[in-house]
Amino acid sequence: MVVAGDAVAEVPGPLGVGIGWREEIDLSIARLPGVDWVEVVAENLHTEHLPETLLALAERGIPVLPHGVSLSLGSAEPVDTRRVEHLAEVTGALGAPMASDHVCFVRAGGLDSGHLLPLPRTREALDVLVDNVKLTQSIVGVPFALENIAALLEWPDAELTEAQFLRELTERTGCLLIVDVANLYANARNLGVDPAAFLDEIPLERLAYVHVAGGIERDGLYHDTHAHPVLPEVLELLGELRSRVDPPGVLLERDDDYPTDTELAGELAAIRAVVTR
Amino acid sequence: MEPWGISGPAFAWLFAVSLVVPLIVRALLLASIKRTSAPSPAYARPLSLYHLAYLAGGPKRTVETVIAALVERGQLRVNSKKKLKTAGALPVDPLERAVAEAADDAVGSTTTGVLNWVRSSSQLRTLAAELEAQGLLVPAEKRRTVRRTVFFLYLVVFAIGIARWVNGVSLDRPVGLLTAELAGGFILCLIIAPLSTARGVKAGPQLTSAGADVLARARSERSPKAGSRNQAVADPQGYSPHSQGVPQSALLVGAAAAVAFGGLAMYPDPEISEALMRQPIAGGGGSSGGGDSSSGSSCSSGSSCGGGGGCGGGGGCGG
Repeated sequence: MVVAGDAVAEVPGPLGVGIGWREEIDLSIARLPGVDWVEVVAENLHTEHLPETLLALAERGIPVLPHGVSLSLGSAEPVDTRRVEHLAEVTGALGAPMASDHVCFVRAGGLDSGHLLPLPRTREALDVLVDNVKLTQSIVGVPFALENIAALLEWPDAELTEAQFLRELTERTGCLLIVDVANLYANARNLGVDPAAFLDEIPLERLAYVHVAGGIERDGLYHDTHAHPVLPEVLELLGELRSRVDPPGVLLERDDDYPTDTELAGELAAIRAVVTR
Repeated sequence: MEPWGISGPAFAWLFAVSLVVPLIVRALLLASIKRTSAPSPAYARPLSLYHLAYLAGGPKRTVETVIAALVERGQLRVNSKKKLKTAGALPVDPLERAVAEAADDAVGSTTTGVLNWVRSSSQLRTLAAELEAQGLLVPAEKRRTVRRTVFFLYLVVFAIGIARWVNGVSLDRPVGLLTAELAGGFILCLIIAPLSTARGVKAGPQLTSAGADVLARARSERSPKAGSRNQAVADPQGYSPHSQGVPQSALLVGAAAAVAFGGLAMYPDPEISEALMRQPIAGGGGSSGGGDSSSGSSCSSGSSCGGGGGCGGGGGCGG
């Protein structure tokens, strides 16, 4: 089944429960109980000036995994290899065992959307994505993972379900998957995706880790804001996933309107409770 | 016949002495203000840690202590870039709320920004007024009175000197010595007045002897017996020996208390301390103290810096 056999990435060892590293809360993260690892947005880093507080975490033996947001691997135009090289440099500088981005495009015709936009789930789009992922894998030099996004719209005439799309993607590139259960919840609420079926169909054996985040319902739509508390429904989806597989890692993403350290620690503990039950 | 019935040299002596008189009067006045009688029980309301911080280091130290308390409680967060930001619900206490709101709004959202924002707030003025009402702080009003008195005395001294000088010149008498005294005295006033005013601002609050006593007791209850349960301050009389057995709250322990008595450099978590201090620690290496020079522990001995008799607060002449 696996075509690009040489690129098949090993599923990494257990990471545990982590939190998205953000400069605004760097001193808090270093003091929070129950932080086994962190993920950092690669585009915010310069390898020559890595934040001291981030390096201090790495020195303490806490894995720091880079996460890209701008590779735009679903774009029909050629991959911007400078961005991939930057991701590779950051990965090397952090000594990270893995790098990642999203199943999406953010650029088209030279314009930057500023958002992660969903791909049309056609064979043609998949072929483009597969080629771009293979090129990226050849540059980053560590196992590469891709994350499902939250979409507020779907392209018409889909030939594959999202789960089928992701399964074929992993089979053809050997990449790993990051499953964002908050994005899955958003797609269930906003697009009518069946989350249980999604979890049944995606290749969970290729799971790198899981993202959990907060959001809010506004005007009948769920917004994946990363600025609100994690909903119980999202933790339930994490439980759904946990009933199928023991995820190597789970990461809490909080990007704005940061709550108290106590509240963050509470969310980390709630996540841990779900995955260790 | 000598003009005004007094010889030139004799007047020169008298004038030299009278140049010093206002300074002596000032020292006596300040001393008497500071020797305020114990606060009347009606006013002796409980002191908060913020009151003690004000006694220890004025508005600046108070704001630093509020920041430390909020950070310690998790209601305020500081990152390695020294940015302050509130977390969770805003505090209810008016002064804490003012500081929290300033942290989100002030320029740069740093300790400096918050200080500049809150320094002249009504909440801090209220705190100072409470200390004045309890006889622990020399009222600004009285300090102004002293300053005006000294200014008026110098005005009189110079008026007499100038009148004598004019008289001497018109009578064709030698006025060299008096001219030198007038010029020297005037120049000295011009130099000393702004210096002493600036020093007065820097020296922080003017404690009364009762205030210095309260602060000294709070310090001594805090520092020497580490490990033993600290006595808290219920009210200024709470320091009297016979009330020491009364168990009270843990007001004097924790990060906020450390900052109240020693400045932000004393925040127990060194990384947080450095992030809260106003200037990044200069140069490499130097780990202790550093940074925030004016909040350092140099005047930690209580009464010595708060109120010294010299030219601490009032501003010499000039006004």
